[in-house]
Amino acid sequence: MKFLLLTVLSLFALNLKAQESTDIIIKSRFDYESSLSFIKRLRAFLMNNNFGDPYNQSVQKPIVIDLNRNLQDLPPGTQKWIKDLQSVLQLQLFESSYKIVVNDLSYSINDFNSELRPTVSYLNRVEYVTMNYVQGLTISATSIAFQVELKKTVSGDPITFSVEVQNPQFNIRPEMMVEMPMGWLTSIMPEYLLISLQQVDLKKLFDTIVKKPDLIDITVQDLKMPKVAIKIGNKTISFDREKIKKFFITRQQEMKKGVIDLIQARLGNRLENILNDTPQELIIPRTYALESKINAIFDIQEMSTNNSKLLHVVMDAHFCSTEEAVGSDFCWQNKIPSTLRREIPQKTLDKSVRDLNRYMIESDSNLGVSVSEHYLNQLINATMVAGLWEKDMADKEFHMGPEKAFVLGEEKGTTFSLYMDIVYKLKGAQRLLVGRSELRFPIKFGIGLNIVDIEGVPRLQIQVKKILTDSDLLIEGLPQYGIISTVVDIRFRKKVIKEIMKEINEFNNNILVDLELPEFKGTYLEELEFFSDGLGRANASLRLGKKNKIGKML
Amino acid sequence: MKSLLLLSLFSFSSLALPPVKCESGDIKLTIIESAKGEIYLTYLQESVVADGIVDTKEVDLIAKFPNAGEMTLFAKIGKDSKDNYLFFKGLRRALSCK
Repeated sequence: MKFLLLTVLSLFALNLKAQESTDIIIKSRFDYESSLSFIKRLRAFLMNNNFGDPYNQSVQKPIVIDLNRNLQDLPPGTQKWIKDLQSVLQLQLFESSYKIVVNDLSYSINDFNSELRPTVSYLNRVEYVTMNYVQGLTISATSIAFQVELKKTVSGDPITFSVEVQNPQFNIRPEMMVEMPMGWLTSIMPEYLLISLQQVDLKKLFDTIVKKPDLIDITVQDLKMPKVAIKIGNKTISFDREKIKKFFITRQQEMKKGVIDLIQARLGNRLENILNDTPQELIIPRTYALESKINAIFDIQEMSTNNSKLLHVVMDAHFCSTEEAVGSDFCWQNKIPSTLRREIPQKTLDKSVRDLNRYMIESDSNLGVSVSEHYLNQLINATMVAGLWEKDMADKEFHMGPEKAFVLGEEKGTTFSLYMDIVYKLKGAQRLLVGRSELRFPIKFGIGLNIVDIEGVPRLQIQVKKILTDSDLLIEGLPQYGIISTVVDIRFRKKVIKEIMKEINEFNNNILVDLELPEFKGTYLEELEFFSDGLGRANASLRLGKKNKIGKML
Repeated sequence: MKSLLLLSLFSFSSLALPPVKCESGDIKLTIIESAKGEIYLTYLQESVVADGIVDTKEVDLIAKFPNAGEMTLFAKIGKDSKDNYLFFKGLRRALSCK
C-alpha cells in the first residue's frame, strides 16, 4: 500500500515537473543557407565577449618543422629547393640540425559559407560542427625562420642562427573553395553556460591548397639574417648574405610551395586541430533577466540534440515583481505567482514536441519556439501586476475579479482562449432595476499572441481577435476555474446580458497588452506569430534568410 | 535448422515490437524498435535511428537519412485515415502502415 502511494506520488511529481520545467522550448535546425545568418550573429557575439574571432585566429605556440628528417615524402620540386637551401647555407659542412620555425601562424578568412550541425549530445552537453566553405583566405606568420644549430662548437654550446622571412602572407585566391571544419560544444554547468571552440581543422585546407599552388600569391615584407662567420680549423666560412638573399627572392615561388608542402607533410595530424589541447572557452550566464515594464527571468535547463539533429533547449521562466528582486537572486523564491489552470500530462507534452518537430521539417523552419500555457498565464499575471491592462478595463465598467485572467490553448489554430473574471459595476437606474450593485461573470475572447516589429522595436501584443462570450457563459460561469456567475438569477436578465454583450463586443480587435521588448532586437525573436497547438502550448516558427519568414503553424 | 531457429529467437528477443511495415506508393519503409527503445527506420537498405514513437497503434516519427534526406511520418497502424501521411522530398503523400 505504501509502495502504491509512493508510486502515485512520484508519477504526480513527474507530471508536475513536466509542466513546471518546460515553460519554454526552443528548437533549431540549420541548413546551409540559415547557418550563415546564425554564424554571423554568433561571430559578432563571440567577438563582443572577448572570445576572439574564430574566423581570424593565430596559433600561439611556434610551429617547428625538423628538416633533418628524410625528404623522400616531399614532392621532388620541394626536395630540390630544400637541398639548394642547404647548399646556400653550406650546411653540409657542419654537424648541424636545421629546422623551420613558423611564428604566430594565423589565418584570416575573407569570405565563407558555413553549415552548423549538431553532432552528439549527452548530459546537457551538445557538440556541433561548423563546416565552413572558405573562399578567399590569408595564411600569414610574423616570421618563418630557417634555423640552423651547429652542435659541435669550441665552447661546447650550440650556436643557433636563422634566416628569417618576415611577415610572409599566403593569399589564397577566392577561386579556390576550401573546407575548414570547426568543432564546438555547449555545456550547461550549475552556474553558467560554457561555449567552447574545441577544434579548428586546417588539414583539409592544406590538403587542397597544396595541390593548387598557382592560386596562392605570396608577399614577404623583409628578409633578416645575421652576420655569421664560422671557423673550422684554419678555415673561416662566412655566409654569403647576398647569395642567400638572392636565393630567397628569386625562388620565392618555390619557397611558397616548399613551406606549404612542409607544413602539410610534417604537421600531419596536428593540422586536424590547430588548437591542440587548448580549446577556447567562453563562460556566459545561464540565467538572464529581461528588464522592461515586466521583469522576466529565463534559465537554460536542458540542452540536447536528437538523431535527426534537431537542437532542443528547455528553459524555465518566471517573472519578478520588482527590479530589486531581479538583482538579488532572480526572485527564485519570490516569483509572481500564477495558478496552474490545467494539468498537461507528460504524454501530451511529448506529442506537442513531436508535432513541432514534424512541422519544423515539413515547413523547412530553422527556429521553433514552444511556450507553455502556464507560462502564458504567468505572463498575463505579470502584465497585470505592471498595470498594463488598466486602460482598457477602465474604459468600461469592468474590473478584474479574483481569478483575474488566464489563457488556455484549447483548440489548434491562430487564437488562444482568454478567460477573464469580471466584476461589473452597476450604476444609477440600472442598479435599482437589477437590485445589485455589481455582477460577477466570466468572459471569453479568442486572442492572438504575436511579437511584432513596430518602427524597429519588437513588441509583444495580445490582441482580441474573436469575441467568444455568449449568454450561456455569462449565466453558467466557469465553476471549474473558480469563476462563478451572479447573472443567473437577476431581474431583467435578458436586458442586462444584452448590455454586457454590447460592452464586450467593443473589445473586438483591441490590443490588450502592448509591451516593448527592445532587448529582443537583434535576436531571432523580433517577429513571431504564435499558434495554439491544441495541446496546451503556444508555438511559433521561423525560416531564416535575408528576410526571415514566419511559419503559419495551422 | 536448429541454429536458424535460435537465430530467429535471438533476433525477436532483441525487438520491443514486431516490425511495422509502411507503404506510400513505391516507397517502402520498415520500422523496428529495439529492446533498448531505439527506433530504426529503414528505406532503400539505409537504416537510421529515428525520433518519435512507434507502438501497436501509432507511428509518429522523424528521421534523417544520410543519402535520402529528411522524412516525417504519421499513421495509425492498420487503419486507413486521411491523417496518415509521409512527408518526403518536399511532398506530403498518403501512407499506410501495418
